[in-house]
Amino acid sequence: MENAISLSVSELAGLKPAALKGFDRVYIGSEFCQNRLPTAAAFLKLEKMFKGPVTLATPLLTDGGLDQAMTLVKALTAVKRKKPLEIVVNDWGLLRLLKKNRAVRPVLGRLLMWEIGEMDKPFLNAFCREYRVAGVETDNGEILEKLKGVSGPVHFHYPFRFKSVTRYCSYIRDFNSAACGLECGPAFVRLSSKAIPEPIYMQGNAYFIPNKPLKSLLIKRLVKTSV
Amino acid sequence: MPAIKKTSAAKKHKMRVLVGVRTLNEAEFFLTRGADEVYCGLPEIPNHGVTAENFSSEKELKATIDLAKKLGKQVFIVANDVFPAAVFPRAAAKVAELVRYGASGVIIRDMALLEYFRKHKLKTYFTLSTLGLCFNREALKFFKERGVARIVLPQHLSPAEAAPMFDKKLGMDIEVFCLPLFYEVNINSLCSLSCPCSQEAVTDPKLQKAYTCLSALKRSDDGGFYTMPMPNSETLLNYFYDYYHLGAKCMKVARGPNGEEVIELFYKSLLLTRLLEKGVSRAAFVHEGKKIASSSQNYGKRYIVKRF
Repeated sequence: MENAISLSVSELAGLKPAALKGFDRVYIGSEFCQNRLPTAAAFLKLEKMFKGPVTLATPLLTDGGLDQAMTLVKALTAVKRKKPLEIVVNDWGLLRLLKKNRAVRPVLGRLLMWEIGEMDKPFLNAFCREYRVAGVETDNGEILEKLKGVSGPVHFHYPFRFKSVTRYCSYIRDFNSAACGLECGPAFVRLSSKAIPEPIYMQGNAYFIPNKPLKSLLIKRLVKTSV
Repeated sequence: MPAIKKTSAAKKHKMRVLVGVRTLNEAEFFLTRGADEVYCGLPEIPNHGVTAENFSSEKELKATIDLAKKLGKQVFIVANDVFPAAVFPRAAAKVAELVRYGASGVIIRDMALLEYFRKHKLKTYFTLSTLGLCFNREALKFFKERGVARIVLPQHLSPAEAAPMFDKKLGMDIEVFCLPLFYEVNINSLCSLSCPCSQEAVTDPKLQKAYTCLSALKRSDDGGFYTMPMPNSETLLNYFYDYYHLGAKCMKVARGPNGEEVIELFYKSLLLTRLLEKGVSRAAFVHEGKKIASSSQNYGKRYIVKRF
């Protein structure tokens, strides 16, 4: 079992190598907001500090976000690595653009888990071969059951299960495609009300509930979100 | 408000009006009062609607196709969910049967369904549901390569962000919701928060009227209250104005289990669309639109089941 830690760009400043000890892989970026992608310099600095594989996490992207993501990918793949750069992809447009790029290996992210979970598995497996997909990700036991029959490894995120996301940022009060000061930070804020059955947790523009790592032969990697 | 660069499509044009229906009566009502197209679901074809948003029989749906043909209008079959493996062959065959019967097209989310049609050499007009997550022109090309002819634009884009997708060279028809009257607080296909319109049932009667996205939630960090954000009515009127001028081909009135509410939504959406087609200025549109859209976003009312 591979153990990974997922970091937010807000956590990079002041990050010490000791914080990464015990992990086999580090994720950096965001699956939920295109303003939370790292700079190429920050990614490469992290890679140098960790001395192990670093995965770039990417969200749904607008055309502007897609341009920025591709500029970042170009800069990151200009550096030679023993293995292709792993990118968590949550956008069909980005997947299309990466199709012929042998310097990267896409992983299908959590925003696509409902699409791929139910999907006809022979079709899904052929699709994954066509796009050289290295694995699929989830944080949800229900989806995990549905992923039986998928040919690649499954990566499981914890200690939060994704519940919802908006592109309308509550901090800047606009759609979040313009550069921002990352006012949201990495913290998870608990939100509660008698009107809802259980508290939810907000981080940036996404909402979560707590979860725990599951045991399954399908899961080949656990990804812990840094909190 | 953001000024969107006008494209060649920005000339005055008539937007097609699409309405979701659940009965032959509803289809007859809307198709004779300004709708150009209706869309219909069946419970045995996976779709994103609750059961009460579907037709109760295939016979009635086929009668709706017959009626539309007679009126020179169009009927689309809604299949906007990913088909689970256990039902895929039967459900896909049913969609194909309705297309052969005369349905004008299919609203989809599942790429495997497109592949099924390709393998069976069956052509139709495919619309990608807003649930299909098409947020940029590369994603649009991704779906076009698979046979999609129209996309329903995601609500969580600003016109400035969406403008590249309206490029005529891409050859994709674009359908929009009447945003000032129908806007979902979070991204629909990525939301599983508890609420009456969620896939996740709210079983406690006390909670059945609770929409997490509209509730005041207490924050743990500063003790204040938080409500999930969305653009205000004026912004959404401006967005709808911009999408028309970018060249949106079709305006969609979503189906719902409450017939009276869908009628109200239809007439208000139609009024706003006709204002745009008259060529009114942005300022005049927003001024008049505020009066028309004054009672939007009534989720609670929407999920009361009322047939007609």
